[in-house]
Amino acid sequence: MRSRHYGTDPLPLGRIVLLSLSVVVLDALVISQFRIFGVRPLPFLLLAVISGLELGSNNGTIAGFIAGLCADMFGAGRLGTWALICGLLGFAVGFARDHAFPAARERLPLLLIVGSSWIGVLSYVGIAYIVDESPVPPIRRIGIALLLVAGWNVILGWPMRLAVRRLVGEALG
Amino acid sequence: MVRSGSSRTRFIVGVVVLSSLTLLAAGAQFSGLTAKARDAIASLRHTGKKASSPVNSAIARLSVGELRSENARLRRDLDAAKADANRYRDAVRQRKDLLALLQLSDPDTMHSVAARVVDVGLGLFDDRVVLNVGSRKGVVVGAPVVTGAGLVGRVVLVSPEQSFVLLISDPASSVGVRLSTSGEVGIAKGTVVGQPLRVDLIAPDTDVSRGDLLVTSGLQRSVFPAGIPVGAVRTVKPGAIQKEITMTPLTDLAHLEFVKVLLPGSGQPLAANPAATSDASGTNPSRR
Repeated sequence: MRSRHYGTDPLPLGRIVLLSLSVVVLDALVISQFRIFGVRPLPFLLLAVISGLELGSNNGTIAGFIAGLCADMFGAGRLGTWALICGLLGFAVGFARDHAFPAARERLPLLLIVGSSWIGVLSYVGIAYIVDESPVPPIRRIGIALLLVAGWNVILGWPMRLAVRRLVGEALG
Repeated sequence: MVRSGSSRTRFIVGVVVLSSLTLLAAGAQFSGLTAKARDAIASLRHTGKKASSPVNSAIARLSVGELRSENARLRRDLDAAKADANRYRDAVRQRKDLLALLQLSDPDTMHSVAARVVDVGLGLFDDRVVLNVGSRKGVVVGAPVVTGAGLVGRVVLVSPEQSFVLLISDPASSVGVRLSTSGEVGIAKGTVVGQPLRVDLIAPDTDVSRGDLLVTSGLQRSVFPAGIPVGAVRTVKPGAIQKEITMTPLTDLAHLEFVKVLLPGSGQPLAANPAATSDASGTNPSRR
């Protein structure tokens, strides 16, 4: 079986940009319509997490940054917010995979997806508070967002992993 | 130059973090670029909705029996609408009289642009709506948004073709309000869409009753003109420092369709720096 450990190979940037743009457009057209209690899936956050899992910490950082930057460009948030969060998440997940979840190359570690989704949402709230001086949303609301974003990301994890493998992983050989 | 594994990692993470922080700090410099990107995605969303609507309509009209029952229902609706229109004309006259009597602003007479709510924001939390008008129609950041019923929120982000509105129910929103009965001034703060707003700074000895009208205070630095109806008092509890008051918005914020954006020069102090940070009048436009 071919190894899927691409941590040190150079990243095909064109493919990553294409995948990120596709995810953001798909998100704007379809995925963002699926709201529960006003909370929607965050596929670009998931793309960063899966990129970390599939591509390792170095390439996961770059892929996460590009995915987050695309989300910032087309969304309504402050430019750089999701780029920072997704870039660091891509690195952290790739690092965790290499050091704590070696089986992640074969099986999708749900715990890692749930945990990184939570960190992503909390970081977003924190950056909005620090940079924009926005009041922190009520705890109940944050709790709902944590649950739902993690749930959406678990559901969309497998198709996203397939997309990353097909579009980016194969280019890396 | 060949980098070792760990130094390459440090280099990549450093570049990504520095780039992100630069973008966060200098985001406003790229507003033209992001506005174009957002307009492009809005066009795509609009096209997608238009493309899917004939299919949805065709599916809905497959049955002739359904058409007949729909026709009968529409006739009944038309009769009811005619009756409503008569009542509406009378209500409009009464409303104008009341606004004049209470010396309140009438959003209908202000310089404004009509807009349609085309989308909810793409942010994580759902407290923004997207309008189909932007800077090409004269909309500016900070512009108040109203319906015939009252205040909706204010524009926090504008691109040439669309604008994002922060609803008054958003936790980031605070609106300077005045009790129409006593004239006492307070601040209405958002909590969650669909939930009552909290009204702070009303003195404990103020006479407040359920149903009392709250209007924008229009005090110094306010982005809202004075006298726009905001909501009605829902609950009142006594407090040591201030009365604990909640307020129901007069506008149904969860089902917005058509709104009006008040433009500069319509009698309200928009020039009072809409990018100003939190104050008693309306806060913090750039968020989420």
